[in-house]
Amino acid sequence: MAEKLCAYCKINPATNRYAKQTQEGTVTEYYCLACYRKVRDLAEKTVEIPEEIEIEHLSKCPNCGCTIEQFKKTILVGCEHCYKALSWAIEPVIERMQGSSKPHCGKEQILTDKERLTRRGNAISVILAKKTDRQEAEIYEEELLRIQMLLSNDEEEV
Amino acid sequence: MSSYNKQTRESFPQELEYVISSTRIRLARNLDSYPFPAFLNERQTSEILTLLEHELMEINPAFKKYSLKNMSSEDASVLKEKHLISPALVKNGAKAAVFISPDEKFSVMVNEEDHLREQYISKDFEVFDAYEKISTIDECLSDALNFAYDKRLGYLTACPSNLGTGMRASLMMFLPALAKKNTLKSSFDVYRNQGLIIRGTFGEGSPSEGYTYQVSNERTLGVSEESILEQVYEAGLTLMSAELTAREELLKKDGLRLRDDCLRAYGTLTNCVLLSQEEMTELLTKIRMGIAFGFFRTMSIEAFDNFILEMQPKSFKKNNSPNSEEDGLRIRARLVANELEKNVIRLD
Repeated sequence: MAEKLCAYCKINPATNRYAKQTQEGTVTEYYCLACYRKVRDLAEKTVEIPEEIEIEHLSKCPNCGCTIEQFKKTILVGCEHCYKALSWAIEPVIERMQGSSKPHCGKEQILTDKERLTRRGNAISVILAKKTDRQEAEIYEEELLRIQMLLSNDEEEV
Repeated sequence: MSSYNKQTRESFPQELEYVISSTRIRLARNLDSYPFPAFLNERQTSEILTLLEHELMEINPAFKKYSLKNMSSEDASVLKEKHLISPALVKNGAKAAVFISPDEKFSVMVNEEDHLREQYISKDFEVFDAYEKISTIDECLSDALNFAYDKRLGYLTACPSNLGTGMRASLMMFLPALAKKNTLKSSFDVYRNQGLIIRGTFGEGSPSEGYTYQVSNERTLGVSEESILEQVYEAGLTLMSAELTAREELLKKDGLRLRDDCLRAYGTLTNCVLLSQEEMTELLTKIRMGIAFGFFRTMSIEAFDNFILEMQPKSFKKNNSPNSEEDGLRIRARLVANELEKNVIRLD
């Protein structure tokens, strides 16, 4: 599923819809939480205050299905993607638990797409070696083949 | 003026082992492209277990794998008592496994709250060395696997409290004098403001047993590994200094009563015929305190601490197989008496 990026920063996933009336009609933009707040603040300072039609927060992670209710109950997220998809609910918790909103400044793991693909290929090989069921093995063999083709073509798609 | 001003670790060679029981460094990691353990399906669980077993055995073929699926609750409890696994791992049952080195210093939990919880435990005060040691495993895993990582949030974990470095550095400290002075609670608050937490023996939220406390960092994000280690190291030195000062004061003020209390405990433990777990815990704490205050001598405090560990409920039951409750009381009394007569000498 293609991720819609914030129209303002173009980095974070968009989780908030902001609609305003213009001469051309209603214009809808999608922003991440931080930029949504900035845009709103900016709009309130202009003469023309845009009309907000609907605020849309994701209530469930599109990847693992973890819901806001589940997160609030356990304070555990379901997968790595929850941190972006449900950032509007999770960020305040991070700030409270960590005592600040400072970014990570410790050990890093920054990999190229090729490195990630190679490692994934190695992982599939390990898993495949343990598979005795032919049908199951075929699924992994297909994925391995796809990865090998991507690597040999030197493509960037992950 | 106290003779125990905060100094470097090397200034406390003898007293160290009577205050700091152990050092533990724990790193939390998750593989990318998989949900975190609570949301794994059967296929994904199997893949992760297969992958991590392969990588860990490559790193150290001597690692012993324990699958929680096949493990009896007794065996699990023994590993919990040794701090090699956590209650959360046991709760995850069939999804979970642990890999333990022969010397039981390294343990790697798989599918606890996170896919990986790498841990190194040392009986010494060696915060920086312990980190170096667990880093060797972490680096090897990091070179082979794709960890879930974000430039801003660092290593991504199931709980936001472990984001960033994913590192928890902790010391287990024996602080009877500070506890008796009733100043420990206010110290807890001071350290909390500095980003450190002090808790009872078994970590999060459980009551303190035997004056033993765990001191660890609270923050993991927005701080580097080095600064966390420095902070915990400094806290260890400060608390140790405060404890040793408090012991001196306590000895001056109430030395005779203290000695009497410890020696009465010794008398009971070397002569009783039936001994309950609760009474043993209470009295052995007094023996340990007596060793720390110089009323007793022991060849090795580490060996004494290991004995206490072996006498924990599940370990005791597994090693001795008592036939009845009374049999258990009897065996316990005998074992403790033997240990004290052999290894704990009264100093007059």
